[in-house]
Amino acid sequence: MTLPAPFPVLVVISVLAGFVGAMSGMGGGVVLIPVLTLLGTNIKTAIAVSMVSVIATSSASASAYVRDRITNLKVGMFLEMFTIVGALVGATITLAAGQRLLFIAFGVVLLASWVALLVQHRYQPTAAEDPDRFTAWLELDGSYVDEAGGTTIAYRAVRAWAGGPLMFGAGLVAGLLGIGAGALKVLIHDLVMRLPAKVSTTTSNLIIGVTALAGSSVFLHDGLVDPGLAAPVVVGVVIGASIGTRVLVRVTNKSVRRFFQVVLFSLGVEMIVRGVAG
Amino acid sequence: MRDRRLNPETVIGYVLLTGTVAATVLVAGGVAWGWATTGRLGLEYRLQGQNLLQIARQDLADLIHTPTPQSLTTLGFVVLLATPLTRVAASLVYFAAVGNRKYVGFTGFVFTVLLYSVVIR
Repeated sequence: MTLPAPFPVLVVISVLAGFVGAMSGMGGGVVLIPVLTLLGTNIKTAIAVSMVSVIATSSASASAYVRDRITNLKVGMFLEMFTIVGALVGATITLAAGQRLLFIAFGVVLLASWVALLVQHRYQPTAAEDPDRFTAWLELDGSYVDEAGGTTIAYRAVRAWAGGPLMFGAGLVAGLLGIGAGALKVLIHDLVMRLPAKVSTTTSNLIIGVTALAGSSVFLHDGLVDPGLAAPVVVGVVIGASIGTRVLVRVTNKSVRRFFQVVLFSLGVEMIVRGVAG
Repeated sequence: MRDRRLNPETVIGYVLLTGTVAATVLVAGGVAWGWATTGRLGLEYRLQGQNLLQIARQDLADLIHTPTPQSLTTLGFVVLLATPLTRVAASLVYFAAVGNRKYVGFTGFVFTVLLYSVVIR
C-alpha cells in the first residue's frame, strides 16, 4: 500500500500525535486518525493502524506505573473482561459501518470527551463510601505511596457492578474508533468507582493496551493493518509519548487541560463536518 | 526508596517495558535496513496471515531462510501484539501462585478471549 505522505512526514505527525496524546492522557489516536484521513488514508485503515500504535504507547507508560505499584491489577483484570468484549464488538461494527458514519461517530466521541474533561474538572471528590457486597467480594481495595506528599493513600473502590458494564461501552468506543478511550475509562473510574485520580489514570493505561489488542485482532483478521503505514506511526507515537510524559510533569494541570480542550473541540467539529459533507 | 524486589508488579512492568522497547527497535531496525539497501525510507508490503500465529510462523520462516527488512519489521509487530498477551499470562500465573481462584477465573477469561481472537481465529 502506498504511504499517504513521505515517511519522515508521517514520523513527525506521529511524534506530535503521541506528544498530544500523552499530555492529554487520551493516546495518540485522537490526533492521528483525523490527520491521516486528511492526508487521504481510508478511515478504516487509519483506525486499524492507530489501534496498533495504542498498544505501544499504553504498554510503555503502563510499565512504569505498574512497577511503581500505583496501578491496581485486580481492578484492571476485572474491568478488562468487559473492555475486551466491547472492543471486539466495536471493531466488528467498524468493519461493517460506512465511512461517513465513522467520521461522525469519531467527532461525536471527541466532543463527548471534551464535555467529560469539563465535568471531570468540576468534580470534587466526596467522602469515602463503603463498597457494596459485590465490590467488597471483588477485593478492589488498595493503597499506594504518594511521592509528592510522602504518604500512603489507602482507598476502596465502589459500584463495580456499574463500572463493569460501563467499561463495556468504553471498550466498544475504543474498538470502534481505534483510540484508547482513556477519558471515558478514567471518568468511569473516578465518578462511578471512586478510585483516586492516580490509580484511575494508571489503571486505565493498563486496560487500554489489552483493549487495543482485542480491537487490533479484528482488523488484523480483515487485513486492515498496513505494516508500511504502521511502522512510522508506531515509532513516532512511542517517541512523542515519551517526550509528552516528560513534559507533562513540568507543566500545570490547568494549561494541559486548556490546551487539550481546544484540540478536542476543534478536531471533533472538523470530523463531524467532514462526515456530514461526505 | 521504592521496593524494587521481584514482585508481580515488577515482573509485569518489565514484561511491558521489554516488549515495547524490543518491538519499537525491531520496527525501526527493519525500516533502517530497508533504507540502507534500497535508499528509500518506508516499506510497502502486506502481512502474511490473519492472526498472530500465522503471521509469526510465516515471519520466522522468512527470517531464517530469506531475511528481509520486511521480515524484521513484521517481527516487531509480532512482539508488540504479543506484549499485552504476555502481560495477561504473567498476571494469570501470579493469581494462580497466590491461590486467588476468583482472579484466576477473571484473568483466565481475558486470556482465553485474547488467545482465541488474536492467536487462533
